[in-house]
Amino acid sequence: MLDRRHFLFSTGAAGAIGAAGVLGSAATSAQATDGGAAPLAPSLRRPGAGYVPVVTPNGSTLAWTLEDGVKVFRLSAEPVEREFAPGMKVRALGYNGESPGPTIECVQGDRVRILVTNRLGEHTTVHWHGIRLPNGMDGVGGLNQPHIKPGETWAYEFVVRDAGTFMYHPHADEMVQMALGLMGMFIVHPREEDEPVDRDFVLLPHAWAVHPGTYRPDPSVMNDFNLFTFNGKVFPATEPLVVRTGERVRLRLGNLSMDSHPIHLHGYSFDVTATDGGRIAKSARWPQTTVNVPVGSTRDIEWTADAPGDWALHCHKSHHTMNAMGHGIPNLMGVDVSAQGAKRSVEERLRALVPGYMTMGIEGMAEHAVHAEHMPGPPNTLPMMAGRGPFGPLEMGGMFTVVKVRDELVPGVDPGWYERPPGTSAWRVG
Amino acid sequence: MSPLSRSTSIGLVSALLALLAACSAPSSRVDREPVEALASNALGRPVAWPEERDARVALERELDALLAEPLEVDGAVRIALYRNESLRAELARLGVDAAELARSHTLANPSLSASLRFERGTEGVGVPEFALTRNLLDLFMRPARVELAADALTRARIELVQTVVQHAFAARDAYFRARAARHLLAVETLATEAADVGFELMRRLHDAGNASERELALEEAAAQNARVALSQAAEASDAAREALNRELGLWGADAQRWTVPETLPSLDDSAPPAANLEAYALTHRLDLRAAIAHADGLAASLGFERRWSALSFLGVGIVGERDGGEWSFGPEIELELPIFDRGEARVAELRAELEASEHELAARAIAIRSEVREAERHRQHALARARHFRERIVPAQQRVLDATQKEFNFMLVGAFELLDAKRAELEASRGAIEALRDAWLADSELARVLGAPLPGATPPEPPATTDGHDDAHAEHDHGG
Repeated sequence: MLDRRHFLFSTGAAGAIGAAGVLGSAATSAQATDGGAAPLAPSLRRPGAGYVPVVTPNGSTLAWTLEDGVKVFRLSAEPVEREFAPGMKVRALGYNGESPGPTIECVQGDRVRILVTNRLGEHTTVHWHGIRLPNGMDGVGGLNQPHIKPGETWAYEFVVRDAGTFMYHPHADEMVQMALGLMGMFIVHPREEDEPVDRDFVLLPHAWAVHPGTYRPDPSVMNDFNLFTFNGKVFPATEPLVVRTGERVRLRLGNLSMDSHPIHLHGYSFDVTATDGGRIAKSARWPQTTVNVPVGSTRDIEWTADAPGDWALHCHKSHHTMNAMGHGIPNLMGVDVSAQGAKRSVEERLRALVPGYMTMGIEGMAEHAVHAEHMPGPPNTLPMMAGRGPFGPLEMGGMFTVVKVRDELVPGVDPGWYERPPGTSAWRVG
Repeated sequence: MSPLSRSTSIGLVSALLALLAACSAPSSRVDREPVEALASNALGRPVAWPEERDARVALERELDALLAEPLEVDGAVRIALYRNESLRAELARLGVDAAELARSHTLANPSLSASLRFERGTEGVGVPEFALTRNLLDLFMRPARVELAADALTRARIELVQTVVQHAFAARDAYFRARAARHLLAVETLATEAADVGFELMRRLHDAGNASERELALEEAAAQNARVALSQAAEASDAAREALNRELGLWGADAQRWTVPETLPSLDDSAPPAANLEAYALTHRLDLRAAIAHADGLAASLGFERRWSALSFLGVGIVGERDGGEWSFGPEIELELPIFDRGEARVAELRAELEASEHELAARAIAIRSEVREAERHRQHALARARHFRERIVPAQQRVLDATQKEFNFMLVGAFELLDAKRAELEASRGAIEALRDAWLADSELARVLGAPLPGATPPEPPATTDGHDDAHAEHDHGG
């Protein structure tokens, strides 16, 4: 809400802000890279050594410029439109046109300067979650700094002391700004990689409340979230994680939602190698197949992709692998709706009143995925389950993606569905 | 004895006798044509009550045919005009007024006085003497009296037509009420089914172990409550049907067999409000015409009274006397001495009545103007509400139902929400029907207040068979 004072202030400062805004916008959009797939230049601090740049599926890595030995990043907090999947666009908040914002990637010891421009209607800040830095750079509005008012650009500058998987998000009207999608990952590569990997993926799960038929996340919802994304996408719009057989893979997971996400990888046992507090000693690691990513934490998992195939990777809370569903619908499981006595069946009577009625959920809800393909739903609303695989409906949504491990890969080409060698698939016996 | 010569006297006597006998009474048959014309004008449709047997039989057949088909409003009005016995009674009563008119054509009977005169010295033989006299004013006032009686007949006709019109409008209103009640009953039947199937579904859920006793009881309570509403709607429909039966004068099998279409007809509300409705009403309102006729009649009476009041003291007559064996006749003049009553009181009374009638006339006109404005606004508001229901509320509830269906498709809401949305849509339909019914009633009310159908409204085409009746009727009239 713009009050009069705010309005006057904004108008008075328009010249300066406008110029900065335009410049900032041009700089950030020109430098954004796509998906992080193109490797960045190696760290200037470690010339020649290089690192494997992270890949942010469905996202990007934030580009930087070098100014007097400082890596300068530009973030613009602004309204964005995010397509969760075809058929649903969300009026969210994000950075540089994306939600989550682009992944910031640098190397331990880098001096970074991050210019944050506020293009929101209210003030904001950025907190560099998990990063050890000077207190005045920590970004808690009112505690560490004045808020960044709409139209202002502020600089954060610090030397990143620790390698690891970190996050960034506002620490001002957090509840609203994070509910609407202002967040991103902050990856710091070590100066020297003790356990190098071939593929380094970044996934930031998030929980949203976008009521069916609406476009904007509802910040007043605290528990009853209905959409669950990996990097701002729901299955089947989530990009697969493509890996060559035998490669060492790292997956960095963050969590800035209000619920934990037990992320399960099929087909492998992995090690949880790091939290946002740092690397875990090898002796302390548990082999696991599911890593619970708590609220406000990050987890790195690593494994050797020695088993080719299409391997599911998903949050194991089943309602997180589906899209919006009514939580108050009657339980029709096992209900007999057939005709009893002289009257027509309940189904027929309901259809006579409401021609579109169709009994669903008597034997289960799997049929819904098929029904939803030919029955209209509310605008801007995804069916609760979707996706098709080589054998039919996947009946999934939300936090679900596929790790595609193949012996051969053609760069830039989707490897398609895995073709199982004969004799390696389940078969029908009855 | 009269100084007039015998020949003169005989000539005068003949003229007087002719005058006395001048009482050419009109036909006492009730002439319905003016009534039919007035009623046709007021109702915007041909109205005729055929008397000829063949025409009546044909009409009865036509009315039977109307009752066999779903009844439309014009058919209902037609039936009421011919079968409503109260209306027929009023029509018959017109004969009484016609008889009054016939009487007014007759002069007051002359008075005959007879006497035997015994002259002194005459033995036992009286001289008989007759005098036949009558008041001259009565004679000269005859045109005025005829006119007054004609005014009375006109007023009687107008009053009759007003009664006819009231009956026609009552039938029309009862028709729309009955038709709306039927539609409302259909809606309530659906609403009850919605509640009932909700209960049934919940029972099935309960049987499967998926719903609690409380949930089941809630659905049952809702379903049972819906049945009460259904019973009330059925009763209202029955009552509306009976009310229409009364207006149509139907009984027995006829009262049972008719139907009305399931829904109310739409009302064309596209025309802008007509201009000069007040003036229109003043030219059409029958009560105003009656008041004008009354004032005119009084004015005429006053004129006659002023001109001829002197004659009220004068009587003329014949006197006959038998003198010896001979009757001798001669004219007689009787003069009342205007010592106490010189007729001024009668003139003053008439003048006062005339003045009063003129004020009454003005008051009526002013009241009519106000009634027209009120009825016109009432109609506009009622039409606007009906349109609002039709164009806004019902579509909004339909969109709610559509949106609920879409949410249902995606398992965002369940069957009970879908039924709730259906019930809400039915509730909007109920409101729309009531609003449309009220608009029809308001439309009738304006026509009633105007004294004629709304200007610009196309009067319904008379059915083909009616023309035949009109011809038969005309022929009959000519014959009479």
